[in-house]
Amino acid sequence: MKKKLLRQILNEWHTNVWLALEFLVVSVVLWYICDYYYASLRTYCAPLGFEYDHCYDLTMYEITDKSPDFRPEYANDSARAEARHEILRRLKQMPEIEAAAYSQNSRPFNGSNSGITLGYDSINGNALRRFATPDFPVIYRYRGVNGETPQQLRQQMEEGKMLISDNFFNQYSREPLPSTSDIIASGKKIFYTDYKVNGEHPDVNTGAVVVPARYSDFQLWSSFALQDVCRDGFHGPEAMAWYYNELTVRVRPEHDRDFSGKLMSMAQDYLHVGNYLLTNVSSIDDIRRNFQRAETTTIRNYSVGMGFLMINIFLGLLGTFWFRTQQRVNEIAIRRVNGATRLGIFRRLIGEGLLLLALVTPAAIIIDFLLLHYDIATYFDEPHSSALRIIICAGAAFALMALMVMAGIWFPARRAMRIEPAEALSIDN
Amino acid sequence: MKQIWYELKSQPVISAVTIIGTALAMFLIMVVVMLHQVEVINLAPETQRDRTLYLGRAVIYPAGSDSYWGCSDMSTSMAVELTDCLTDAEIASIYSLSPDEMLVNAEGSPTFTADVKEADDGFFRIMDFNFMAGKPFTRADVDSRLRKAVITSSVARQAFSADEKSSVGRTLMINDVPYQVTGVVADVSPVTDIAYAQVWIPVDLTPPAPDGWSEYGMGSVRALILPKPGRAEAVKREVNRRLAAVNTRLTADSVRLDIAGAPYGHEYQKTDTYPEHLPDVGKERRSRWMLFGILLLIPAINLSSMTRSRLARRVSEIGVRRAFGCTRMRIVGDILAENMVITLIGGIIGLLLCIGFGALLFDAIYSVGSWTFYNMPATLSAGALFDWTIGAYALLFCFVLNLISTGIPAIRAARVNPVEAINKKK
Repeated sequence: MKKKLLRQILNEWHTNVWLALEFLVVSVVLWYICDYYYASLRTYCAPLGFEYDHCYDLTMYEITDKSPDFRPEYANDSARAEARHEILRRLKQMPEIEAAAYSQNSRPFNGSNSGITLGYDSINGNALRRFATPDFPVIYRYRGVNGETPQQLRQQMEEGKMLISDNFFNQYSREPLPSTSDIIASGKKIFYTDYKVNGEHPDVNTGAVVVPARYSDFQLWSSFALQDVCRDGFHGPEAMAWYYNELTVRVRPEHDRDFSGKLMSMAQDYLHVGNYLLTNVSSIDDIRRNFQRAETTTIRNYSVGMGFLMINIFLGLLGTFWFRTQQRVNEIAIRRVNGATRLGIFRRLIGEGLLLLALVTPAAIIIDFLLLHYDIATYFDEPHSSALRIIICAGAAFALMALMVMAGIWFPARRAMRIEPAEALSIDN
Repeated sequence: MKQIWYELKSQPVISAVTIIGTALAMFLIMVVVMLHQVEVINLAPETQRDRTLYLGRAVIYPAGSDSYWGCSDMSTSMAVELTDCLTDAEIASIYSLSPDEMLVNAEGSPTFTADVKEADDGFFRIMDFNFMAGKPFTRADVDSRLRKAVITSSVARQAFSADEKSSVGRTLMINDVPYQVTGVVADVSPVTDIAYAQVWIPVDLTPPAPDGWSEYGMGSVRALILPKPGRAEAVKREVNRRLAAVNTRLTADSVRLDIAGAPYGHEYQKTDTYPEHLPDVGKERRSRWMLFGILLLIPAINLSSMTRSRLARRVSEIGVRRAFGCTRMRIVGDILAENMVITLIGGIIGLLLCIGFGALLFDAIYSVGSWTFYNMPATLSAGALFDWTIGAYALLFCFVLNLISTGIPAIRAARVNPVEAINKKK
């Protein structure tokens, strides 16, 4: 039967060549979309390394000398630093709040970053610099690779220690390098390359090695070093006023109801310290949704595109096979006379579409492979070109196509089944 | 026309599939066109997008290095230095790109948050805001650092519970600082994100204190330049001459300032809002046309099989016409023209669907910048979509769709041998 079908496809090559071209283009586009989903899903499902539920970002505005409420005695650096400490104290006194911290370009889902370069032996590594006050690991539930709890990490930050992620040196290094915990275990010293004291790079006061914490749901970038800038030995207490540009809190789950409204109602008095004024409270989850809008929009647009192409395949096959069954009335009638069952006719038509799809698929897979190979289809940091990735995504694209082939041919094939040989052959041709 | 109507009626399934297919294809293509066009056509209040030049990214490199040390918007003093009194510019303006969410209230009314943008007087001359009452703040207001504000009518209603006229002259507290309202404008959609805010206050042009950042040109403002007609290139040259002078000065600090290829036109600004280099507009265009190609080719292949099936029934008619001396070109032309009518019907349905969709659900499909919250939804009036470029795109795509889907079947049909065609019984 396959051979006969092939012969028939060849005989009608004029129509089939267009259909095959359509299958090819749509197969490749569907594969591309499936591959995008696969890559984003793989990245999305990888461990995030932190938690952000019940976390809020507080925007503090510093009143300027234009305001009648401006208090010049709070305008110097030490008073500004002290006011910030006072805000932290007041926040932590609230029964709703479990932890509160200032940070600089460190909270999750944040478009601004700072970098830090650290070294060991003759190797230098560069990653995200997260400056924050000690509660930071408690807010985002950072963990040490040896099971250190967020509270233990807070303790270490209070002692001025730097928490370095386990992949600090090797996440993006070209050559394989040991993990941070291996480097420390082998007794090697990690040093700052950005500072020099007495002509030497000073050693880092390392604390626990921590689990990498990713940049966002759609990025695998997760190497960082976390330290309180006021306790790093290079900056004075005024650094509190200079560096920190974020204030985030973790709310106890049982109190996480209309928290932002409650906090905002205290903006004018309880949280108005020195020249600082609370102007906005947003949940990290809202910030996350906003930050990742580009990715979620792409996924949505791709889904619409995919739906559109599938409807097109459906309509195209519906039209083509409707026309074909119209043309093949005689042929089908003769088959019926010669003993073909209705189901046989139905299966034969569907088989024709599926066989055409199967013929095109190897060519589509070659194009898919080339797109991957030449880096046209790379998104996120997902390592690519694995055979499994192609098989899974090409398989998904094939399944979707096959579904549409069957749906599109279903109606014409049902019509063909109903052809009564006697009537069909009696038509005056 | 009668013939086309007859044709459509005689094969209802194929006709319906053809029109639905065309409408669907045109709808999707036009949504893609619309999403792109609203970013580039002149859209009130950004009615001079096609003439405006943009700059404002400051990228600092250590001298002799090609990996940058820092990247941000510009400091006010650098923006002034590069854009003030340009010989070939009509207007230049300094403004902050992303509005800040600030607390706003009038005396005795509850506090709410609003998106506040800093701008100078030139901003209101480049942007075509619909002033419902009052007027923008002036150069003198900006220079003297007077606390004046322009607000939208929805802010006026919320703060003062009053109409636009009676809001002018009243005091609005913005982050605890009193501002006097000088004008009230109609609400602005974040789709025009350069213009967008709910409150505009004068930008502070006083040079900031040196902090190891702003003296190299880094800060938080951007600039718009409206060149005199035909003088855009001269403006670019002058800005770059001024940049070279800045860099001569900065050699003392062993740094070099780069402005990411600016000043550039609107499409560059839209391609990358936060560029470190000149945005790659060509790549963006190529991928857009590739998308159009796929969105056109697939439906065209489908539609061509419908066309063939319709033409198959008319073989004898074509034979007769050929026998009476009609040329093949003429037959191909006629078939194309006939099908163009069907394509246009589908195209108009698709375009109307797209406009309706845009007017009702624009906020759901449009994504305004990634890192910013906007207090207002991204709305778009249907009127804004009746732009000639959108109509021109629709017509172009209808024409291409028709040509691909009908051209080849028409040529094949015209090749028919008249004797054989007429001899066929059916």
